[in-house]
Amino acid sequence: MVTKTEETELNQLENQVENGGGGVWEYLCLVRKLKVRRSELVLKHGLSILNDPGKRSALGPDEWTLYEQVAIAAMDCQSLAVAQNCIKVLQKKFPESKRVGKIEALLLEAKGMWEEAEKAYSILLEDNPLDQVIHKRKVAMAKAQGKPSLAIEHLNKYLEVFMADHDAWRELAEIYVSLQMYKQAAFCYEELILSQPTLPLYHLAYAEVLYTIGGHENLIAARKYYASTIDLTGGKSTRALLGICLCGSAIAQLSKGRNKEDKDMAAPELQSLAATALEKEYKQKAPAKLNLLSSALRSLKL
Amino acid sequence: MAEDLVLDTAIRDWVLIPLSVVMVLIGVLRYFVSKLMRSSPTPDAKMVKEGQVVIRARNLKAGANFIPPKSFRARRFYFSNEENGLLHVPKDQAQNPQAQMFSDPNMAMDMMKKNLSMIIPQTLTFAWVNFFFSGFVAAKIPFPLTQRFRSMLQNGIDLSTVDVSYVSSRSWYFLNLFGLRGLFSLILGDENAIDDTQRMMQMGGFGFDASKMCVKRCRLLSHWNEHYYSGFWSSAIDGLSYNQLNKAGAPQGLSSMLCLSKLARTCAVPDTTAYCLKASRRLFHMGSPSNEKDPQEVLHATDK
Repeated sequence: MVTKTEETELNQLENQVENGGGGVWEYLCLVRKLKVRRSELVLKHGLSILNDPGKRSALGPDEWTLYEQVAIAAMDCQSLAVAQNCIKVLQKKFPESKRVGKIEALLLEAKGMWEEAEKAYSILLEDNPLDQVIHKRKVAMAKAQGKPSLAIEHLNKYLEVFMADHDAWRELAEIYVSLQMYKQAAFCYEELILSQPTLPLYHLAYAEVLYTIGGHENLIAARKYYASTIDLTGGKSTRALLGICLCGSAIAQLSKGRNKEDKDMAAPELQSLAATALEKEYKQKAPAKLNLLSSALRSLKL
Repeated sequence: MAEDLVLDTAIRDWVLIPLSVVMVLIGVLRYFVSKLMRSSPTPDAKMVKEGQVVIRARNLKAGANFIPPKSFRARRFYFSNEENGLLHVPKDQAQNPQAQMFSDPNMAMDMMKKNLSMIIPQTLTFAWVNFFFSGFVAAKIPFPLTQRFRSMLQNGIDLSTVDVSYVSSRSWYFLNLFGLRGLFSLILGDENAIDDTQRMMQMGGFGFDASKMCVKRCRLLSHWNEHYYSGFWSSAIDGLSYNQLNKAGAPQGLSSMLCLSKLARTCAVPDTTAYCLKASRRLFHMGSPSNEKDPQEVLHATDK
């Protein structure tokens, strides 16, 4: 995850670069280090450096890393000719390189030639069966071709070996949610919460999946996780506040016909407090929609 | 005799400084040679998997409070199951790491290379120092030493009446050996600091042994009780909500909601009920500064 200081630095450099100031090379290095996806800017400014022979030779051995970065950015922006040129230069310099081979296979993927890309990746995998990047590219290909079940299969195999890779778990959770396989998605989100318990994003997502699955226990758990999201974000998460109100009314609906023994006492206070907080926030940020909110909240309170 | 010996400055010029320079140069040379000879380790699939499993199990133990009890138990079973749990290594399979190390030719070669690159320059330099720079006093150590150090530090000096603080060049060699680590990390970059002392210590340990870690994790997990902390959390939440409620000027709605959300987060349902009862009653007493009661008193008052 990118920290706040890094984010401000990145934005500052971006503004500087866009408005004609110097610092292009530092910007590109920072983008590469943080692995953020700023393909258009990288393409534009990277090309400006590469096309200028003076600046290019000033880079020294970093020139090739820049070629690689610009090639990938070009593929992201679908300017395949630029990418092809960069790759040709790299191939001339490093003929038998695996790293260049990866970028070539990426180009095949970008052009949409799936079988050739698949073959290229399998060849690369034979040399190095434990290469994480190539495994992930295969998953991405399956996803791009619109075969989510195949993507799930690849991801599961990948996770059997590399089970501490939280990015992969996150991707798997999102695919499951898109396929409406909520129980499996819940499992993935649990893994994510285990690895990074202080990140409110995962608590929120888990709460939403639990709420979607439904059922009394799940709704109570969902409310707990919405509450923990509010805890972790210091009360700023509007979505979690709404979630609590919805959960409260759903639980009340479910437990109408039930035995009052396991009715939890937290319900009324929590819901009313969440509603008050929500109204306060709306008053501050979107006063026009306050009426909508109030009527919605009133209809929830059964 | 406690007289001060006057040492010739030529000793400094021709012994101390050249010895240090030579050692620095040899260190740099060794660094480049090791870089050339280093073979990139092909990661073994089994080792990678075991490493990742240990990380995941560690996360499970650390974050046990954050997931529902059922899922924690399911994962614990998955890891420490008797038949096919991931971390469970049956007793006969837990190999002696030493035996494993020597049976694997690659690792033996790697270790030999590492040791050789350290032993040979050391031996050569030591022999060179002894040959050229022995038989005279090289330096004076600024603090007094006992007589025990005489044999170690005054090797070439055959006078037994010389103060032990006057040492031969062998001790200068040893001083440089252990002290140039900082200089190397400056010159060669942080990761590549050649540290003989660290290498010598590493010779004792035989590298990452995943199977032993797995066994340890398995035992830890099977004894881990996810409700271990619930008692602690209860008392923590008690104090916390009390503090928040009595804090002057705190935005009351939000803070009380925060503390209620913390209550709602506790895993055990029966505790939640009791807490929410107490909390709601406390909430109604909130805001009246004259009610600076002892929390225990308040609790007992509401329980009546």
